[in-house]
Amino acid sequence: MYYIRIIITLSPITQIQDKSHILGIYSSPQRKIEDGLEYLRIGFEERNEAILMITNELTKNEVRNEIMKNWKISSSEELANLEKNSIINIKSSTEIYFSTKRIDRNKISKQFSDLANKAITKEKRGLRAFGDVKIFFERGYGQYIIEFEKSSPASLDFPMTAICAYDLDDFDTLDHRSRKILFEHHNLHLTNNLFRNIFDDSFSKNTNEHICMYYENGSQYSAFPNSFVPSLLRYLGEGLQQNQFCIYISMHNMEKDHLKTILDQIPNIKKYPKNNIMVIKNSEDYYINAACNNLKPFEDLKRQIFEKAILDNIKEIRIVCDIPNFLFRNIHFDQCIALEEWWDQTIEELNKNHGLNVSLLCLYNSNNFQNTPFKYHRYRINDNHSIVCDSEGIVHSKYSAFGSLKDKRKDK
Amino acid sequence: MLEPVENHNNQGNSNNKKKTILLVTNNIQHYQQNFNNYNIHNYNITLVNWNDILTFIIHFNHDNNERKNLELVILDISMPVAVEYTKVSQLYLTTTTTTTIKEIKKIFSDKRIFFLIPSQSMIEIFLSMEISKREDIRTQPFSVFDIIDLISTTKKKERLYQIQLHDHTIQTYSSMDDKIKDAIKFLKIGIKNNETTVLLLDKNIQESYLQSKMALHDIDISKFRNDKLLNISYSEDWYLLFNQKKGSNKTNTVRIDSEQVNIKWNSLIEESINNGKKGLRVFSMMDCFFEYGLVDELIDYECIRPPKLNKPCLAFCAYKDKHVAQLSEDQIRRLVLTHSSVWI
Repeated sequence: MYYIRIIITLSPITQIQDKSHILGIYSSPQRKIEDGLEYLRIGFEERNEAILMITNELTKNEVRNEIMKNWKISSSEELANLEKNSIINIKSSTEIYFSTKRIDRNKISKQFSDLANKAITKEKRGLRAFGDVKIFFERGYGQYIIEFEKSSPASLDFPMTAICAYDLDDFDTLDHRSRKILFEHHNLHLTNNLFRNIFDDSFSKNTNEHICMYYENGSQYSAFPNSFVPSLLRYLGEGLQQNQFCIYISMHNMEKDHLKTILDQIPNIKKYPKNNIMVIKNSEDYYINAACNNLKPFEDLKRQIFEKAILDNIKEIRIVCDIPNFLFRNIHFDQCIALEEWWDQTIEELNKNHGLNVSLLCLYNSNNFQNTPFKYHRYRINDNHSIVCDSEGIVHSKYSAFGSLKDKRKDK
Repeated sequence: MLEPVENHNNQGNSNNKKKTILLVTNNIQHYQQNFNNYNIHNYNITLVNWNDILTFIIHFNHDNNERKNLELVILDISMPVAVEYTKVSQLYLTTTTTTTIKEIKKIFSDKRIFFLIPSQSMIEIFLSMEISKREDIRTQPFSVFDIIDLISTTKKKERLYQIQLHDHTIQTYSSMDDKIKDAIKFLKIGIKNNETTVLLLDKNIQESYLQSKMALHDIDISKFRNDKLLNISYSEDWYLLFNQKKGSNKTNTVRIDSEQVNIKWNSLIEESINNGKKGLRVFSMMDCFFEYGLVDELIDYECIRPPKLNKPCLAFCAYKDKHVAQLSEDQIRRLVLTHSSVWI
């Protein structure tokens, strides 16, 4: 008898957990509205939730027309009745966020909790909201919305599930710190209703990221894991394609054939200037020094990167590094964190002082995090990265358990 | 094909400047095959068969350069070390081998020696033979990456020596003895650094007991107290405020007096500086919070202090491992994120 194992990818919006606070990034206003209404439809039709649509992209009547076209609602009278009972709520961004002269955070929050509580009294499971925040950027309050988001937890503490909807154009204007706040204060990140991926367009435009990529490697830890090779090749390949300076620092560089094997697999590698990629061969020196609290080799590397950037007039840099993973695996926890903090400061410093955009991909074997004391230190690792993703590049919340990575790809 | 650009750090070391790792094993072929796949830039790995080790030692003893360049020794006893070996509790050790090990330890007394045994399950058996300390034991599988880690372990300073003023450290202990040993070491480092040490003890540790332990290290408590280098108190008295007389229902009568505690800390830091010291180092035993059911309050109190303290103070929080095991995921997350050095 044959057993066939099929992995299917379910739409993220069918799997959203109650009280989630979701960051949604949309490639166009049209896409935002389509995806927003679909997310609300699922809540209304399949999960017995009241819904709240907040946008200025369409008038209320246009929203109603869209709902009538695509939702299981038989007549406009039925829709009117649902609106009257606050089961379906359609609001403009202006009336929710800018109804007073001064933006009143408490008033805005109260509107949400009142509607959520009302939904409960109507025997609904809670409120599902879609909040288009474009108005903040249009009126020059981009930083205000970040502060507003900062005051909200990654999981909401009343029965509401909400997508905070950002246009990609607006998201691109945010600095490193602001994006970090957004990632930290939402427990799920979506791009056009799909799980956000580090290879999305929204990432390629902003290279100042400190990314933690978890991969699974069940076999002996010294063996080079194949699970992240496609992502590694894509990450470096895209960097070279965009004329970025790419640096590869891996403990596996000690293996005689490793570099050749990796470099040969990068698509069109011969096309790119050969000095656009630097590989660190003596990675063991970096490891030994880092384990002994000496980051001088890394400081020297920073200087080399900076000099190269000045000499070749390069503004964008991509780095792949797995040395922290080996420090972590060998229980040099504080040294691993110190190195990650150093990277974080270096990315910021090179950006602030020299206008360089640095994106760093740190590779970690998730199997190392299963047991005590390793699992306790996961929080420190996650906290030092702006993005946490799996080996396919799918972005996860910093607070989600590792098991949830598998939940997104259901085995059938 | 792109030529990899070499990073030039530490390049140009000739072979004779390279440090040596000595691996004694009966499985040379296996290691040769494995290690040949790697380039290690600043180290040579010398493989010696157990049968040849004594000859090797004779040669080694006559060559000063070789002795100088030897970084560490690894003794692999995960394979039979003699053709006719006897299994001693499933470890492949013959009487001859244990004698040889003693000889090696004598000859290489100035070098760090690691032992490679077949599996984790044999660590306790091996420890009972009193050949090695726990921290010097490694298990199979063993790769080049493990050798690199042994090099760093050999070079690394002991962690109590790594922490300094402004750090906020957490460590868990499974035994009171280990905790007291560290408290004494913590004090000794403080004396050396000209920092005032505060030891906050669990109620079950009598000061006289601590005094006797310190005497073994030639530490005269009263002298260091007079020199303003030492301050000893009980955690319970330092942190907690008892609203009523202590009764049987302790949980309802006690709270953390955060405000007063902060005032006390600030005043001690100021006093330390005024006395010409560099700052304050505090070793706090945290059991009392658990004994009085003040776990949530403790986590909140810990989180008030950031991972890097603003004032010249080193805070060392000593927990029992069983207490940390009781905490929820979220409590552990908060605790871990509020410390700069986490040894749990």
